[in-house]
Amino acid sequence: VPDEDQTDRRWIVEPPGRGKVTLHLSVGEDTELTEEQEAALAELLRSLEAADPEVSGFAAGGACGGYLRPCVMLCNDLICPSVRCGLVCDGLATKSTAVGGGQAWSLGGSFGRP
Amino acid sequence: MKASRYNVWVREDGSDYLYNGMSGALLKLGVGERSAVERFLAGDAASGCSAALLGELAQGRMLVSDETDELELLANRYRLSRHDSTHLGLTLVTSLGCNFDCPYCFEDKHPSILDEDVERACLQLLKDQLPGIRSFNCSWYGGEPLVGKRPLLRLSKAFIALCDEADVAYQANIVTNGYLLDERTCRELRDCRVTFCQVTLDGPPDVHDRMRPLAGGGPSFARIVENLRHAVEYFAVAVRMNVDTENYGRAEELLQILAEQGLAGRLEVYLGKLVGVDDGTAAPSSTYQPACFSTKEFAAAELGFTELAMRYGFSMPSVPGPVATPCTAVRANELIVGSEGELYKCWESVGNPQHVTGNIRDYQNQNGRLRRWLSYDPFSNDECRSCIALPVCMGGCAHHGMDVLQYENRCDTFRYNYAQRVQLLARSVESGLAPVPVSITSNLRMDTR
Repeated sequence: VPDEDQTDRRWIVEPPGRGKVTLHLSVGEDTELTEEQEAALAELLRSLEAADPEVSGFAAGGACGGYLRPCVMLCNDLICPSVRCGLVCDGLATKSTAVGGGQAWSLGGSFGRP
Repeated sequence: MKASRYNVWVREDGSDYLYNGMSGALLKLGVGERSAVERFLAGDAASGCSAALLGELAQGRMLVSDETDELELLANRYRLSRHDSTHLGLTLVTSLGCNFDCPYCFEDKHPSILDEDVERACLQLLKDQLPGIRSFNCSWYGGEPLVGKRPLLRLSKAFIALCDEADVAYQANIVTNGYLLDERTCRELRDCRVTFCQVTLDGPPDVHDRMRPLAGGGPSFARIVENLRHAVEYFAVAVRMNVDTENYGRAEELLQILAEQGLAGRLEVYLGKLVGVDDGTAAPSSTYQPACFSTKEFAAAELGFTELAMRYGFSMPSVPGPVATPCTAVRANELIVGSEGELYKCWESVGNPQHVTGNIRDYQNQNGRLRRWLSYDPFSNDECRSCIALPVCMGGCAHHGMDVLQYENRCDTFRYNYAQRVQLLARSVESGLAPVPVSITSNLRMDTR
């Protein structure tokens, strides 16, 4: 598998962008969010997901390498997957941010009329 | 995470491509990335999938969470679209009468122009709807809509004025045989915000003039082609060639003629499938016995034609995007208004009194036939539920789906040629024929014959 900066992967037909919401949370090394901050972010994501069943959270950014897979899988086992994954899943996010300096969550856009 | 059930993998010139019907997206993967994705899905912790790759696959809905029920998501799209009251769609038959006499026409036509009383009722309907809608789309239809050009122009101007005042987006399209599409008419239509026009040519002159003669006899091909030359200056134009097994072989001749007329790259040409229909009316189609393609045969013919049309500059390779509902017939806030104010749900029903659902003058009190359309549910059909084409066809033609004799004609060709369609686009990308990135294609086709 080529390095990310060497891949020739590209969209031929791009997925719809309508309603797309991307949250980029960048925190410094060893930074931990307070419970209050976690709760606020969780609530924001929950409200976005509740507004449209097509909105789903997934970890999309950050160079978390080997941690991404369990991270992504755990994400979707939880009620509010994306936030809880990034913030509290077994410390994975802490490790990933330590490596990549940031973690991002993308929400697939809601689907409108054709 | 799991793979979407609507993924289609193809390999072209050493590269892997992944298409997904839920998003309509197509991704070209880098070397070794397909096998990395497969290892990831198999639970290999050292799959080598980068975060960016997984993110893009999720964005394209190619990877979904283990809990995601894609059928339920599609069913939800369908429900939302069916009951979407923020959009109004009207198909208006300005003239049931037609200046053509096509032997396969499914309409039991008679001369009838949409009158001012029906116009007033249409405007009242729009006024009733304006407070709740954000967009209004009007399809001008017939018979031949340009035979009823006066009510078309009058209504257009009134629609535009009302929509502009209410800040409601308005746009229109027209399905016409093209014979009356002179330059002045094109200008008038453009000024009435007609942005798309469908014209039918069924082959080179000898074939077309036999299949689409003027009422009373006489050829129509030459004048239509002459009209196309200026029509392309005013709006997007698609030429539909209705085919059965007898005229399909003449398709290339039509493309050659259109190319000689300088129309290559200026309009799209696509195939329509002729179907023998007997709805118990006196429509010409009830006695027409074409050598019809089966849907599977038509899917292959369509693919061959697309490659041909690409060579002549009349088609671009594309993959279908997702739709929420298949057509106007199953959407609650869309109506077809006949020239005398009678209401229908399906374009193929126009002129058939057995399919009238009510009257525009009292549109809120439609009869029980409406329920039949609004309860059409592809999600109760096992074939549809297991079909890879479901996100892009959503049950296909409801009219045929509810008719035992036409049931097999309900399907979108994508059911049968999906892999080849994706492959064709990938091949075009590799050979530099397709621009990159390609947008999800808008549906510049009308579902009628």
